Amino acid sequence: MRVFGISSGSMKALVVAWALLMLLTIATAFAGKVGADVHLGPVWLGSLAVVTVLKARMILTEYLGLYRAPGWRSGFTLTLVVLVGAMFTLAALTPV
Amino acid sequence: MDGSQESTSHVAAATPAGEGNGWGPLSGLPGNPMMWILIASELLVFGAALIGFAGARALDPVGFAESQSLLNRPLGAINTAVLLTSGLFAALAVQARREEKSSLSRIHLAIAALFGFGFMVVKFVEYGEKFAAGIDVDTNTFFTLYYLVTGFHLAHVVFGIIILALVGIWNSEENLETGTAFWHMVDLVWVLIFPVIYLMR
Repeated sequence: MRVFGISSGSMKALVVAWALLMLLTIATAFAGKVGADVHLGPVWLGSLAVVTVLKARMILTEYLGLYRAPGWRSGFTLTLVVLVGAMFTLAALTPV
Repeated sequence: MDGSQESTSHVAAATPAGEGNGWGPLSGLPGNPMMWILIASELLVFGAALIGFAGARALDPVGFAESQSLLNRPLGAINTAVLLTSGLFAALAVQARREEKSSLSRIHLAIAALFGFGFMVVKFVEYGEKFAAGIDVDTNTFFTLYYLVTGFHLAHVVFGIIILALVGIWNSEENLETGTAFWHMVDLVWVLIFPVIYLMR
């Protein structure tokens, strides 16, 4: 596994992963319209769900070291997709 | 030590923790496999709680929207950054230990714990705002679930800081991998809680 050309399991890769997680946190705040009290439509809810899974997968891969166990990483990612998908599908189907 | 014993000890030192110890497919996971069973369990428990939250919201969308608008979303976003930064230092601690830099590893663990305390302070500020406004666990279904889920997570943060302290003292590579895995699970769960409880509307 490589993060921007840097092999996983090094201090540099961890710092790059952290920087990406910070960018994804900003993306979460943007997609979730942190500063506004508005209803999110299906597009923004979908974006929020995708960013959430990407952040969780980054934590699993780089922080938790699952780059060493790609099969387990796929299993955990699938579990996250099912869980987050269920949460956000319920939200998208909820009438305003 | 005879030849076969020496050979066995070299294999043990060269393989990940748990490998060759009868853990089967769990052997390839970093740290103690029991921690991964806990991580999977916690992920499913918090996942079920958050699906329950989304279901409760579907039954009362207006009430949930009104209550959710009272949450401090910027503080929630700040706490995400705080916890992920703590996670970085926990991961750096393991990496430093692998490079036989025990002192640096302990410094990284201490910084990770400090960010953990930072998360707790922000959370208490948030809870303080709610209590000052007369909002508690009995206010309505939204706030019952909010306090239960975030409070249960906060209990994990407290326990995680204690674990970081313990593996800072007994800092074998396996202990560090196992202890920091718990801490990253706390990160992972918060990354799910924040968008669902604070932002999903």
